[in-house]
Amino acid sequence: MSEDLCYQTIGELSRQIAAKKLSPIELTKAYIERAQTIDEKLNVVITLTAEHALARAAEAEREIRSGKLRSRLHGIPYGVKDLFDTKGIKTTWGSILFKNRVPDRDATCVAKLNNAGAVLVAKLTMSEFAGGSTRSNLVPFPHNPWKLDRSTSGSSSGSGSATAAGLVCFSLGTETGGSILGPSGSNGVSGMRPTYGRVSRFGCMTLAWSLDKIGPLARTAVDVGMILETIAGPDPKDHTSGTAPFRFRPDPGKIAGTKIGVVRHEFDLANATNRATFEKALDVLKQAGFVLENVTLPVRPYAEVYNLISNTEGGTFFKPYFNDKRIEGMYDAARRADWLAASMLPASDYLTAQRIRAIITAESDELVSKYAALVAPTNASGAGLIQPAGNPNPTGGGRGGGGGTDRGPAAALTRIGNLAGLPGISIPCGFDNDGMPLGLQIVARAWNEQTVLDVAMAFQKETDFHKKRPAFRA
Amino acid sequence: MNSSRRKFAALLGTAVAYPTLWERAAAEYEQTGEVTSDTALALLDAQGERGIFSEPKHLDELRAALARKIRDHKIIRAFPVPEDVQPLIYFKR
Repeated sequence: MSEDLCYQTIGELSRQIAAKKLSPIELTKAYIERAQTIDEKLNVVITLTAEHALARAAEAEREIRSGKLRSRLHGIPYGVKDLFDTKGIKTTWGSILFKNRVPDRDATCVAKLNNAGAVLVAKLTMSEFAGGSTRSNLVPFPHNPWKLDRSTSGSSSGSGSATAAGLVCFSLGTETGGSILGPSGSNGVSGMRPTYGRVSRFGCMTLAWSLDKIGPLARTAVDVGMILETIAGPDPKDHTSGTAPFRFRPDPGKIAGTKIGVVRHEFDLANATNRATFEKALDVLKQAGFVLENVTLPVRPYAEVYNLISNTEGGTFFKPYFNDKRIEGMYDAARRADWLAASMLPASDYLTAQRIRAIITAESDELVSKYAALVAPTNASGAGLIQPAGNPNPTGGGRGGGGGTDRGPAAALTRIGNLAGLPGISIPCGFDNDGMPLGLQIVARAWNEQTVLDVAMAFQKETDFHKKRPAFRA
Repeated sequence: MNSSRRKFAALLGTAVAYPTLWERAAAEYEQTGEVTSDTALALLDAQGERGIFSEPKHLDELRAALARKIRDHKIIRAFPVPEDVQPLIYFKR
């Protein structure tokens, strides 16, 4: 019973809470007990906020009983990657350097969820400073609930794994170069990278000012839309936040004849078995009424531009920790050195990279404007084995969520989506030969999250991959 | 006053030397596939504190990172950018 409850969608839970058939306190207790039982095997919770959560749940119950229902998220338990400031609750950025850091403010998106009545139950594992792998010297390696010897992917490792394992109803993650879509694909959940500027980053750790985005991971595209509506919007504390409103419509509307661009090259990178699974996913879209056309992405130095920009901005943000030598406590030595080396590059190189990024953005805007959306595999393969200790980032490339070695190099569409700040979602679309989830990513024009969600909702109406649960048991 | 002049001269020297040091690092990488410790230390000094990177183990990590960055830097510099393309930086108020 308890497990079934923990795997319900926001919509299902919300209806029962509104009808006073489900107590937010009992629901919160169910998630807390599940986390207490399971997390010793998964290692995806840094701080279980049980006391805080039960107090919030009691408050929600009082309000709902008295007729004050704040939103569809009222009384729903959630978790956040441990880089969102939470007032009075430890926020570590996934690093031993900040293991005792307790902020005196809430990040804007946490404040918005709290105002909507959602209940924070857990601060979730992340790779150190949101690097692309899953590693940290703060907590043991996180595990994938589908197979405990498999990677969760990173950097929103705990957000992906905890949502898939039913430790939280939904979670927030961040993406600089692939850190929401990657873990969503590897753990078999629905996770969205919104348009750059859609969600305020105030109170969230900086990795790269011009690339960081915040987004939800949940069971379904409908849940993702509901969460995004809550956390989106302008914020005077983050000057990059946009003013365009986002009102979620939980119905995909008219599909027949809607054109989707298939990034064929990315499908061809998968092995035969996985390619067959991805082709079946395309068939589902066709049967739903979409018209599919193959598209080719221009050949551009996506990885180099991404690495230079993210490392230069990361190196600049973390510079004070180099100056006072605290950086010595950082786990990923190669990434630390990359930051420093990038911060030594002449400023003209950073500006040149941003000029090439302008070209990439213009080209991708033009390409995506011809279609409702572009689709590609989130990753060509399912989650790989957890890498041995002491090998935090063996390839030495693609840092900052862009190419974590636990999930292989980021797909070109992921690179473009991040450099151009386009919205994208990863939804479960099948399994590989080892039973690990595969994800399909859907990317649309800037500020067109609804279109992304429309395609995802249409897919999830025809399939049940999003309803599958890992066989993992407490 | 003398101290300030010395500091200013040092700053000026660094500003002039910095691009030259990068070119030296790139040339070393081109010829040998790596950046020497001397050049890595000179770059460190030019950017400020040496910090933990004065230790040989960490200096080697930095030399490897410099080699990676020089690879990226070469590709970025070789990419033809039309003259009317502005960098994607944005001041909003």
